[in-house]
Amino acid sequence: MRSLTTLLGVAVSSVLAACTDRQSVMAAHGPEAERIALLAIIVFGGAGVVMLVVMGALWLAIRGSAGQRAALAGDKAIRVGGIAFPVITLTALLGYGLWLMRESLAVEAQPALRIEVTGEQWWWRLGYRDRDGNTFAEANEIRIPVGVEVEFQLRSADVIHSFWVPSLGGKLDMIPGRTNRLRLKAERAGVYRGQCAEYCGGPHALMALEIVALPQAEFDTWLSAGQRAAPIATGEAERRGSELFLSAGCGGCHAVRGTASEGTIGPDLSRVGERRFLAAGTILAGRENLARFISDGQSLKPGNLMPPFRIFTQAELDALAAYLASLR
Amino acid sequence: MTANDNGSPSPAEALPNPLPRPAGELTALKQVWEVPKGWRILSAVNNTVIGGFYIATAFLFFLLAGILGLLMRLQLAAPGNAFLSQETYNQIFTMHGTVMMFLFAVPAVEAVGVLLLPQMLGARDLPFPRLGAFAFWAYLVGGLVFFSTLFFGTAPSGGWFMYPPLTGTRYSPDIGVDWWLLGIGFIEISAIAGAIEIIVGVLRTRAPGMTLARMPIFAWTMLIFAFMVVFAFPAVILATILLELERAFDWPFFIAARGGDPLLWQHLFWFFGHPEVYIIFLPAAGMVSMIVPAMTGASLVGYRLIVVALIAVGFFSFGLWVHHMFTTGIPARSLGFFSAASMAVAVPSGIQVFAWIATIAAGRLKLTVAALFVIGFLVIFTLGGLTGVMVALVPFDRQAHDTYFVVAHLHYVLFGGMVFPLFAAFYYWAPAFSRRALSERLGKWAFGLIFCGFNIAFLPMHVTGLIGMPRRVYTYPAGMGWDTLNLISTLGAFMLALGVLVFLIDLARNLRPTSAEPAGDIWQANTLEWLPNHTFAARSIPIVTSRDPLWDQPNLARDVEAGRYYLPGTMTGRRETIVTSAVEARPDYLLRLPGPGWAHVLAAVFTAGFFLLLTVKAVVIALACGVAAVVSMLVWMRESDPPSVGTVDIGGGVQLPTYASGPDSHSWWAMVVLMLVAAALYLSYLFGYLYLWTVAPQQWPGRDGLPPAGWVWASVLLMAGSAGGLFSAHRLLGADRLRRGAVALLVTAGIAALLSALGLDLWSHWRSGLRPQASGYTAMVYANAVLQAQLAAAIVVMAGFAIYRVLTGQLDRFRRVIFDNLALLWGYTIGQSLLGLALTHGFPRLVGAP
Amino acid sequence: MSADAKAARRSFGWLAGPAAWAAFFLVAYASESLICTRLGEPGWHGAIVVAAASVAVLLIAGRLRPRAGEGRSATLGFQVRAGLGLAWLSLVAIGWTTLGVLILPACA
Repeated sequence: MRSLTTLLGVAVSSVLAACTDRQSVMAAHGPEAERIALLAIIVFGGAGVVMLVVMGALWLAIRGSAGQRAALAGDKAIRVGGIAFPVITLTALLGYGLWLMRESLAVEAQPALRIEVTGEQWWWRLGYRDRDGNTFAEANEIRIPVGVEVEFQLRSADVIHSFWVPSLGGKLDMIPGRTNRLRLKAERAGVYRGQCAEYCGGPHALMALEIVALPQAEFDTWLSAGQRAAPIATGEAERRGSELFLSAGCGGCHAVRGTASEGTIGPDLSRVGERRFLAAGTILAGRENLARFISDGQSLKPGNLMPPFRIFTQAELDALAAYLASLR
Repeated sequence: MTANDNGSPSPAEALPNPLPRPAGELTALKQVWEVPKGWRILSAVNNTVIGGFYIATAFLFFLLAGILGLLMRLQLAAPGNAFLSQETYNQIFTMHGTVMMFLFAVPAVEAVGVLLLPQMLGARDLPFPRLGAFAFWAYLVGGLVFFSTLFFGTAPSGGWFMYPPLTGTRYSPDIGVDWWLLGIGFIEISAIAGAIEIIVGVLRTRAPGMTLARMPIFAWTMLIFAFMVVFAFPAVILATILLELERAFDWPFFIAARGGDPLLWQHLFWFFGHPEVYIIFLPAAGMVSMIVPAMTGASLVGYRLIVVALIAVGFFSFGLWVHHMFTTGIPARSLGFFSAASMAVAVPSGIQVFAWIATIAAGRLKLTVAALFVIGFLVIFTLGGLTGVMVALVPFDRQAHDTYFVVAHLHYVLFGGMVFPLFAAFYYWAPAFSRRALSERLGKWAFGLIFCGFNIAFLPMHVTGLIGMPRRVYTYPAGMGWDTLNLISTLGAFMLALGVLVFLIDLARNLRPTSAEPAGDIWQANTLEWLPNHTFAARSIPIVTSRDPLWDQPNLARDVEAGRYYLPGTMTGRRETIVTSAVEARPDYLLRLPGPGWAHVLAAVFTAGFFLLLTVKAVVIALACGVAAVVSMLVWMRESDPPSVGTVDIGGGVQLPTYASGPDSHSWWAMVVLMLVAAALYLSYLFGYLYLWTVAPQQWPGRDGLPPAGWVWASVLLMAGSAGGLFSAHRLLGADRLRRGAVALLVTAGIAALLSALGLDLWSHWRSGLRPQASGYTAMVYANAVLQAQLAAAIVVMAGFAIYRVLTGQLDRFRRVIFDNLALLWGYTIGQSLLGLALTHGFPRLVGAP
Repeated sequence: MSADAKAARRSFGWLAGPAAWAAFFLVAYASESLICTRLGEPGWHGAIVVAAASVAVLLIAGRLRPRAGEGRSATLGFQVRAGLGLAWLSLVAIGWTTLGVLILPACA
């Protein structure tokens, strides 16, 4: 038992020491996550008490006095400890759990915003609709306004994925042939990391996403800019990059709004320069990583479906990266 | 039924057989039960030999899958680690889960059952020794080949749960998934064979007087285990059949775009998968219920409550499958139902835990290694149960599901709930089968290392999961707060492995399996397996008057060994055991058991060959193996159902017949259980059909899309004819003067009518333009035909054998078990086929557009 | 066999509690699936579950009184009393399932 308590101590302190709130259930920033975090604390406390009771009974059964052992050694002890006690506590717990489910269901009839999220091997396709009803695509980094309920329409393009951003709420699967709806609300501005939670083959481990919660005004600006064509490349490198992007056929899979690149197989790159990460939360954004991903994506994210493009010279890669980084 | 109706004679009365025993009686008994020497031991069928092989094999898979677990822990010890490649890791975690669940856990408990049950129940052997041996060999060959795919890089990598569409041909074109489907499907069949044997063994071969109310708890758990296997495994067998049909022939059961549904797989898989947890746990709990009284010297407290708890688990655990699907988007109220059932199944565990504590309190616990492992089990399993209640809460589960929290939970439940009791069982029962007991000193080291290592490895995972680490990831980024916790888990895993190594050293130094002179009852234990133990179990079969016969019946061991109880020798010159009634355990008849042989070994090898070669698409050799398997089975069956040799006296004036047919016969019971398996398979199919209808009703045709009703009535008529053939053959067989040719002719005609009915139905669908590839609906219609064809094939073989027996004079109005078995399955098949007709023709007419 | 056959039949009787639970559970789950996907009348579901629960409870309650058979044989007495325990556990399970209907809306 001593090793257990020491271990628990080590575990808890290491939790506290590390930067643990990036994807933590207990670092709740939305009402759904807060409800569950509270439930977690309650059940942990309850479980601790039950564990103590059972272990205490076991200890008394082995080492207790004759009287204590006699009290434990009968059908009555079983009826009290093994039937009555669990039935009462579990009834309360089940009622509480069901009531929480009802709370989660009791959302506003109309969400403030709907975002389509489609799980793909191994990234997230996003579909936004702006105030005028125009739709536009994004990928992997989900921007939402703070303080309002957002409905995520979850679908899958291939295999089963699961959409999970622990700081905002529980997960919901993305299943081919179905649309699941998940309501989440971020109460504070911030970046909330999430990750695919259903094994989807190959680099499932490297299928992450971020929800960036922005103040409403900032979000509105971003949303209304969604339909705009990507900026015309101005610098020399960017201009060369944009030409290369077209001539090398990148547009076969990727789209950049306002250009001839209209591919929809891979992520939309119209505003890729804004994103914090590349390859579905796998590597930090930036020119260097963009260039590396184009030429050697398979070593950065093994198994991803973009073939390595080793046809480019380093200068060409730099130009491409400069162009992509300029897309904002 | 003869004599001894009160079932519980006082032991003080004269014992059934007088002393001294005739010279040569013991020698003859030893001779018929002799284990083949040298390499011929492979032909042995005795439960002490096969049970030993079985446990060793299961333990081998535990070690192999454990090594895979260590490899995974090495990979995860540090973020961004490149120790294993992505594909290798994915194969390894798939194999770790699959091997632990299918090749270790279920076979291990079944193995312990095979080894212990006959001795514990006072039988000489299980009622179908060759079937048991067949199941073992099939498992060994299938398991080894399946595992070795890992060395060729062709192992499956879709997870042990194999969710389509990831495992469909589109996303897994390689052979790995086929290995899983055919390999595991095949091993499940072997598990079902074992379950049938265990059910009949527990219900019909208990020592006289061992009523249901006196049966050892381990036997209760094995009985419930076996029934759960019978109802749960067919669901996953159906799922594997459907997925393999989809992969091989493009029948779109699980392809949403074509009217299938990926969730159908999850329903079928978890309808098996959740009971599976209890299938594994119950026998382990049974072992604990045996060890605790022996280690405390007190009778088990709350015996009846424990039986209630076990039966309740057997039922409730079938209402939990959606528990694994809380995040799939099923309506909230349905989730509430499954959450409630998950709570309900926790109560019986509470009952058992407090019953063990009460028993410990009632006596004085000796802190032996077995007792330590039981205490470790209680600590770890209680924690696992508590986290189980947490994940049964839907909101909590929506966060915890598919994270390391669940990894922690399931290892607490499975390793704590099953592996700890198994280690306890090794230390406790070793002296009953080994010349030496295992070492208490080494055992304490093993326990300490395993217990601490386990907790160091798995306790932190609760936290790792809650701070966001998902399962089944081959790597993770630094800076998530997961690094230290993972490193601790890895260190703990190696400590655990060290403990297992110490245990292996103990086995190597002390385990000396023997069927002649085991160390014996060193614990002063209470149940029959501690009687002086031989290959044939006890020398004579005792009359049981208590739950703790060795404590309550003085001199039992001495008198049993002296041959003073029933059946002190061999009455017919063959291996024998007493078949008793199911509830009160009154002697019914003397069952003659087969001895060593090779046919069942060959049958197992060829059956394995058939399935495994199909996987690699070597169709011709596979078919050759299939034929060889059927031939081997027929050779094996040649000696089955020996004719009566009159009645024999087993002592105390009890005259037992040597033959039984109808519901008295053990074989009839096995056949009924087999029909339950078939029914569970078909009900799973029925569920699948109706489920796809709720998901994609637009695929269901109206009246116009179906074959005309005339075809259906023609099929019905043919089936009625088949039933008529069966009934007439049954009547003729019972007549005073046996007309062999007529019986053979009627059976042939009846079977032909059945086959024609099935063929006609299939043809009618084909003729109407229906193709299985078209949609989920059409695939389901043809899947019905596949299931009927499966039964029909079995019936054709059985009918051929029965006809051969009739024509050669080996089947008549008395010696008729072969025919009775055929009749049972035949009648069942007619019923199932009629239901199939009603479903595939009637249901669309009922719900479809006019 | 004969006397024992009666006892064997009895064996199924003592499983009445969990069997009633299983049937009730099946009705509760299947009827929601059907109503939500095909029939589209969520209002009916609560009534169906409550009705099914009442039937199941009545079936089980009928077995809560010790039967006349008790005492005739030790094994029979064991079965009857174990059946009683099973019946109580099944009642709890049915109650918990019904709780879901009381708290949660159908088809949501």
